[in-house]
Amino acid sequence: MADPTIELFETAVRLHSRRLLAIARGIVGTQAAAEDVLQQAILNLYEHRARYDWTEPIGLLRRTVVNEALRTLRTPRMSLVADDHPGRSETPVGGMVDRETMRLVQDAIAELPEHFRAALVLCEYENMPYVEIARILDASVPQVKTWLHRGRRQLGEKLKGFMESKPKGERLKEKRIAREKHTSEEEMP
Amino acid sequence: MTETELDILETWLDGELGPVESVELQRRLTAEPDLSATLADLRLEREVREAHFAAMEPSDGETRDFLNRVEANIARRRRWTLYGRFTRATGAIAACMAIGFGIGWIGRGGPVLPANHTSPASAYQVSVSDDSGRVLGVQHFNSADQAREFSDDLRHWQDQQEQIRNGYLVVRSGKF
Repeated sequence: MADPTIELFETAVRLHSRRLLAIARGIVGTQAAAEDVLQQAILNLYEHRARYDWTEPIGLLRRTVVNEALRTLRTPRMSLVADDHPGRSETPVGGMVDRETMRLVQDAIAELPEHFRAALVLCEYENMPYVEIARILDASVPQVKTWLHRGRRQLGEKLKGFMESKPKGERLKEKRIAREKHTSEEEMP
Repeated sequence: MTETELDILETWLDGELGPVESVELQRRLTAEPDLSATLADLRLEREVREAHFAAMEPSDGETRDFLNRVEANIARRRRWTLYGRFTRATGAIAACMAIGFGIGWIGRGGPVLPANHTSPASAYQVSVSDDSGRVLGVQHFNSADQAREFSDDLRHWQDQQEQIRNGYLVVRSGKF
């Protein structure tokens, strides 16, 4: 008879791997390293699968992947070389972000301290509340807020010159798109 | 723009500003064009980062390939866990046999496959015997493939043990 824990485990992994790979990549920087991170996380969870409740697995999977990613970055012999940005032509903002901008953002994010990067990925990609991010990163909520604030300011400073150098019409268009999106979302930020 | 104001705007964008503070902020946004312009800049920066993070997602094909690799690794791990349990169960006897015969604990014929059909749940089994033919352990499997893989692994392990005992090691990688 099939082990129900294994079935739940396999379903969870299949369902969430895509986003987990993106989270890992957002933290460690490269596709290959992200795959290593997620694979190790999955194997670790598989080993101890009986300990966990697999009916609500996403929190556990996220936490394990983030911890594994941070552990990988702390390993002294690990050196990561940034690979080419996937640079999809169709981005969620209607292709308004060009490849050059993406490259600059990628480089700027790669220079952030690892905890800033992890907090940013969880907040802006996973849309997680501060309290959940704090739990995953084993930090306090004020600490998470500080990491996010400093990370964003550092990124803002790094990209400031570039954003200002873009043609005025292009910036206005981008602002208009951003504003329209905001208006459609009404009061919700 | 002060750091505190930037912090308030970002907290609002994160959906974490309290209801009272949110009302106050919206009042200020209506009245202060500079604050409103800063908010638009922050939104733009955020849109660019969102696009960057979204582009980190692998394609369906890449995800499928990755999952196939992980599944293969897990299957390998399952086999070796089973194998480890099996060798632990027969380990005590095996140690005695190794001393007694000096050539290892698995019989010259190696694992036997397949053997008796005991029940539908364990239709295949691998038996391990010593040189005298005494059965040291039996492992049951649901399919012939599983039994064959286990048997192959066991043979591989047996070969390695003999090489170690005979004093020669094979270096498989030329890179150091």
